Parts: sequence; C-alpha cells; structure tokens
Amino acid sequence: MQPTKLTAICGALLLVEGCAGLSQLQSSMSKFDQGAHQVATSEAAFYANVRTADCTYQNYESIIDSVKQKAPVNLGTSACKPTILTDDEIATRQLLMDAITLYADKIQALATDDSNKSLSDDSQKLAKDLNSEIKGSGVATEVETAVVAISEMALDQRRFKDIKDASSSMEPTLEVVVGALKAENTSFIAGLSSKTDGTEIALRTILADEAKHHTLTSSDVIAAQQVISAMRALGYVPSTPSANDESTTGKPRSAGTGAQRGATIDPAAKLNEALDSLVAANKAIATVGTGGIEASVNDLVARAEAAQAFQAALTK
Amino acid sequence: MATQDAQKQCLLNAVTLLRSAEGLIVQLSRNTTDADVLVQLNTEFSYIDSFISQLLHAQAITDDATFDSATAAIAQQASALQAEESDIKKVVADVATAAKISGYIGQAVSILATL
Repeated sequence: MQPTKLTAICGALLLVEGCAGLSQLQSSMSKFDQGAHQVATSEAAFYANVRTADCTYQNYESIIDSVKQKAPVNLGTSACKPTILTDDEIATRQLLMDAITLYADKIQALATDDSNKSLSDDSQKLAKDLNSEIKGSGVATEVETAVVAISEMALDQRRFKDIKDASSSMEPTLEVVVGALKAENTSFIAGLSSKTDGTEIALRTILADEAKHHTLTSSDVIAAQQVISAMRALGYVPSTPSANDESTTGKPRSAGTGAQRGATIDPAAKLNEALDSLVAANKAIATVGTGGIEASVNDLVARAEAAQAFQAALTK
Repeated sequence: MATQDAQKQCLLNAVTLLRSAEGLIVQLSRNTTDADVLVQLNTEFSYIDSFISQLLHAQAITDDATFDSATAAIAQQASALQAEESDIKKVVADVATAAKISGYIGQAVSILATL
C-alpha cells in the first residue's frame, strides 16, 4: 500500500507543479501581449511627436520670414506640409504596429487552456483588414509578406497549436517588421533635432535684429528659450560632439544658459530597445523553459513601460 | 544586403554628415550677436535642413518604384549641395570652421553621388 500511496502523492505533486508551470506560462504570455501593445502605443506617440516638431518648425520659420521681410505675420491656421512623415506614411506604419499586436494576441490565445484558440471577433476583423490593407500600401515586398503572414497566423485555426512552434516559425517574420520600424526611429530623431537647431538659429537672428534696433527685451529672450526647451523636449540628439567643442572655433563659449547645447533626449533609443526586447522575448518563447521566458518577458514589459513613460513625459 | 538597403544606409550616412555640418553652424550662431551674420547662417542652415528632410523622407519610402525616383532626384540635386559647400566659405569668416563644414558637406555629396 505504501508504494501506491507514495506514488499517488508524487503524482499529485507533479500535477500541482505542472499546473503552476502552465499558469506561469499563461501569465508570461499575458505580459508578452501587454508589452507588445505598449510598444505599439509608444511608437504611435513618437510619430505624432515627429509631426508636431515638423509643423512647429514650419510655423516659426513662416513667422520669422514674415518679420524678416517686414510682411504681415500669418496668424491663421495654415496647413502644415509634413516634410518627414506624411499622413499616408504614418497610416502605413500603423499597419506594422497592428501586425505586432495581432501577433502577440495570437500567441497569448495559443497559450490558453481553451480548445478554441481563436482571437476575438474584433481582432479577427483587424487581421482580415490588415491582410487587405497592407497589399498596395507601398511597403517593401518583404515587409508586406511578413505582415500578410502575421495576419494569416492570427486567423489560423489549424496550423499553430503550440506557442513554441508558432513563435519559432514566426521569428523571422517578426524580425522583418521590427527591423523596418527600428531603422526609421533613429533617422526620424535626426530630423527632429535638425528642426530644433534651425529654430534656435532663427530665433537668435530675431533677437540679434531686435538688439540692433534697441528693442530687445528680457521677455523676448525668455520666450525664445521656452520655445527651444519645448522643441527639445519632443526629442533631441545634438550633432556629433566635435561640433559642440569650443576648441573647434577657438573662441570662448558664448554667454547663455547651461542647457545651451541641449542634453540628449532620445525616444528613438528607448523604442528600439523595447522592440529588441520584443524579438528577444519571442525567441525565448521558442527556445527556453518557463523560467527563461518569464525573465525575457519581464524585460520586455520593463522596456515597453520605460518607452511609454518617456513618450508620456515628452507630450506633457 | 539588398540594393535598397544599401542605398538607405547611404542616405542615413549623408544625414549624419549634414547634421555634423549643421552642428558647427549652430555653434557659430551661439558665438555671435551680429544680426547680418546670423541671417546668413540661418539661410545656410535652412538649406541643409531642407536637404536632410528630403533625405529622411526618401529613407522612409518603402515602395520600390517611388524610392528609385526619389533617390534619382537626390543624386541630381547633389550638385546644388556642392554649391552650398562653396557658399559656406563665403559666409563663415573662421577659415578652419568653414573648412570643416565644407568637408562634411563634401563627404555627403560624394556619398549621394553613388545612389
């Protein structure tokens, strides 16, 4: 009797441990999904900031042009002509982010105990819409192929039964979509920073002109400083260090605030770190055990939250 | 690396160089209170910023045909950027700094000519 009772106890313990492992896995997949959605939201906020900086610079350039040419200042709401990202291009990038969140939703669904691992009706509709909208959107062929593959995976009922199989099969596809987003994040910051530096020079020009005509006031200087601070807060990476080195000009540093050169505020770096951690978490799901998956997903959530908090602070 | 990827890297490399040129112009603007000089620096900077925006916009294009058109246009406009390289030397009094700025622009022109 003893061995049978012992066997039963051991079996029960194994069952409990197995259930605990399954719950931990489901919890990890929930976090994976959460992290993916947070990254997508942060990416969308970043694009909005790129647009804001672009239009802000255009606005100040037009004001400055009016003053320089002694023409009436345009106080109307002129339409901004985006120079970095158009509305269509932002919409296309939203499709890539929809692909990422759909993928994470499906992975989470595959991890459930339910026999029916379908996504919600809304998510299925999103997947079908994504499948049609990405075609002809103008994205590169390999990106279109990747997004189509994700939308089909999201709708699939037969092929993917296991999260390890799914995440392993889809790993290259996910990397294509993430890679496309990452490359642009870095370049867009350069554009933002250029707009901010341009505004600084334009404002210095105005202040110098006022000084020349003895009309410069301290309020004007303060207002100009506030404009530059606000623009830098959207995201700013100074050009190469050698450009800000006083030894380059041989002249003493001009009077001004300590923040004259501008500290680096790089939302692109935070976003790219979060995107990298998304890929890493997916790889962990494909290859390692529950503990390793948990660690990787926790890293994703931490980086996604950091990117989201960063964007929230910038837009205040 | 695919051809478009290599071209996009060229665009990014050119952006980096032009940003370096901009950085020197910004530094010059911080070291003068002469309104006339600042007007000239503002003009030069605006031109370079406009070119950077054009490069970044091309880099963001994903449709192959549209990208090819954009890069062809940029390659043709590289000569105008080369003219900018000469203008800088007339605007910036400090010879060493002017040479650095022109150098960055010249390197960007060389890269864009390979598109």
